[in-house]
Amino acid sequence: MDATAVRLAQHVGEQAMDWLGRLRTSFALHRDVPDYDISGESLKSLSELALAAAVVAREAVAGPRCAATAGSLLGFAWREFDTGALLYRLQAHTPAATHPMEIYSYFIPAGYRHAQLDRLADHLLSLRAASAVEHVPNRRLAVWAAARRIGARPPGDRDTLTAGTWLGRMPEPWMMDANNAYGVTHTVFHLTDWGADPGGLPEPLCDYLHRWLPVWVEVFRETRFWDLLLEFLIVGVCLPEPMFFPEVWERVAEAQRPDGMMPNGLTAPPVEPEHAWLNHHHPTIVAVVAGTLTVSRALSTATAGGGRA
Amino acid sequence: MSLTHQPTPGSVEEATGALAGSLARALRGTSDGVGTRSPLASWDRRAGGLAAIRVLGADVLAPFLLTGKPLRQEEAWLVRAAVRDHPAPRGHTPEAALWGVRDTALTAALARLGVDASGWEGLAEPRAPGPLADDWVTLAADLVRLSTAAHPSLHPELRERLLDRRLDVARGLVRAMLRRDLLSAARLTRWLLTLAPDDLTSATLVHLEIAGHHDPRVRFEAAIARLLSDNR
Amino acid sequence: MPVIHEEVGRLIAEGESSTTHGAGSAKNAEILLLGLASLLSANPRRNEPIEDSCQGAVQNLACASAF
Repeated sequence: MDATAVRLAQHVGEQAMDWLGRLRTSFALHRDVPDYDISGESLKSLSELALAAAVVAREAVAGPRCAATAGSLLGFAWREFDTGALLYRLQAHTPAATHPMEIYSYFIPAGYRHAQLDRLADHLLSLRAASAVEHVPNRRLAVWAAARRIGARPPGDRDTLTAGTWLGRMPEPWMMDANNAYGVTHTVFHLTDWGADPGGLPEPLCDYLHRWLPVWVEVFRETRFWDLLLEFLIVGVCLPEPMFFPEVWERVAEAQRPDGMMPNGLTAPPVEPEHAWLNHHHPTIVAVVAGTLTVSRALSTATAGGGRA
Repeated sequence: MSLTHQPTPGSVEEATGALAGSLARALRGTSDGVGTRSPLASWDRRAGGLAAIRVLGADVLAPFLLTGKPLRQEEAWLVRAAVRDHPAPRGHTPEAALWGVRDTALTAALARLGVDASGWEGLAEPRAPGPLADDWVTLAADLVRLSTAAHPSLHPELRERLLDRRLDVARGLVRAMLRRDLLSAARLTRWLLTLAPDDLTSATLVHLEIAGHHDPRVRFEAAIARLLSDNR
Repeated sequence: MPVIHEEVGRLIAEGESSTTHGAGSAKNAEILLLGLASLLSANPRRNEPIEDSCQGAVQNLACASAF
């Protein structure tokens, strides 16, 4: 990936972060309802905001403004979760649910902790129930990854859980659809701890992805499904030998709105950012992560001597 | 061809589809009458018939090449008439190069069936194929057009060059499948079988035989691919 | 003969289909998008028209999800 393309990825990521910063109140949780009535969607959105900010902070390749926004958003999200107390209350109220501890785990690499939640998560993850949750396979890997981050004993072993996923089976690559595609991307994210540990991907899966990722990227580039396309770009830079798609970044940059919002590529966003937030904050969050990780891997690859064609 | 596309009645495209269907039946050995009737019989008397023969190129000889059926003189004559009536474009355009590769395959197929077509009026001038595209998307698109050469021996030079591009061809196939472009997928499957089969091509071929059954051109390509696969 | 010959040339030069085809149409996309609601952060159908980037054969791959 040449310097121009790297700058472009950085620009996309930073513009997207800018938009998230300006739209932060859209991510705020409703305070006028009981904890358990806070919508799952809003919890998810806020947690993904924190996740993206944490990745930016971790990679430390962002310019000062972007880095400051990331730090600020992390603090904002943590406070929205009552500095962890809300997540604790949710987890205690619904012990069988895994999302509170999953959300909690996003904050840990950024240095946030909640002692009671640690104790509760540790206990719940040690129950028989922890390995029996009726989750789709890639979500079970999410819980496994969260446990790892929290420092609790992960329920189930990595290879068994991976073997249950679509990616783990390495199917005929033309049996891809959007649902399976999101499964693939998330399997990679969990195995590599959101790009922190490319070595976490077993070698056969790396080979499989090396073969077919370019096809999936090309197909979703053609249909302009930005949300999923950007997730696949992240997959590319989570590989031990990263795959870069400079021409795709040009298309992404063209599609990004001047205010930094990334359209999902499925529905036509309204002009007002606050109204567009509902359906298009997710791809914008993904754009932050994709831009950040692309820059980071491109820089470290350049110093090490070239990526894989 | 998409599910919704129907060729204009009386068009060359329609005739090509009909000829492909006839040839597919011949390949499966399920033609009407006990396999003695030629799949090419009377195609010169049908509207667009010779044009269809020209379009299908070396593929019209598939039933003869792949099942050992002998080529009769009147059948060779039909092919010669089709070539004469639809001469290859001349010059150094990409189109002329495309016809060049296809006619090389056609000439080679005829030779294997005992017909010397050198000097036939309307054939493209023999020339070496140009360099292969570097990127897999363009390469696959080019190979789709060159599908009549996708056979172990009809264009050794092209096949040789493709041996270390197998992954790129496979990527082209997967993309075609995802785009529901079954005709392109079937042609690229032929190319992969020409280079080396694997589990993926096997599964893909079965899928094409089932999902592409409604389209005579896909049916025909899949039938050729099936014989290429079986003959290995 | 010229028109027929043109068609011969066109059919020979015809490569892959020009846009991605499939069962997808704007109508199908709406139905299929329901399945995607859980994947994107909110039901994207709500209040927003479908983005038609492929001349009617919209996002078949994107929209075909487990039902």
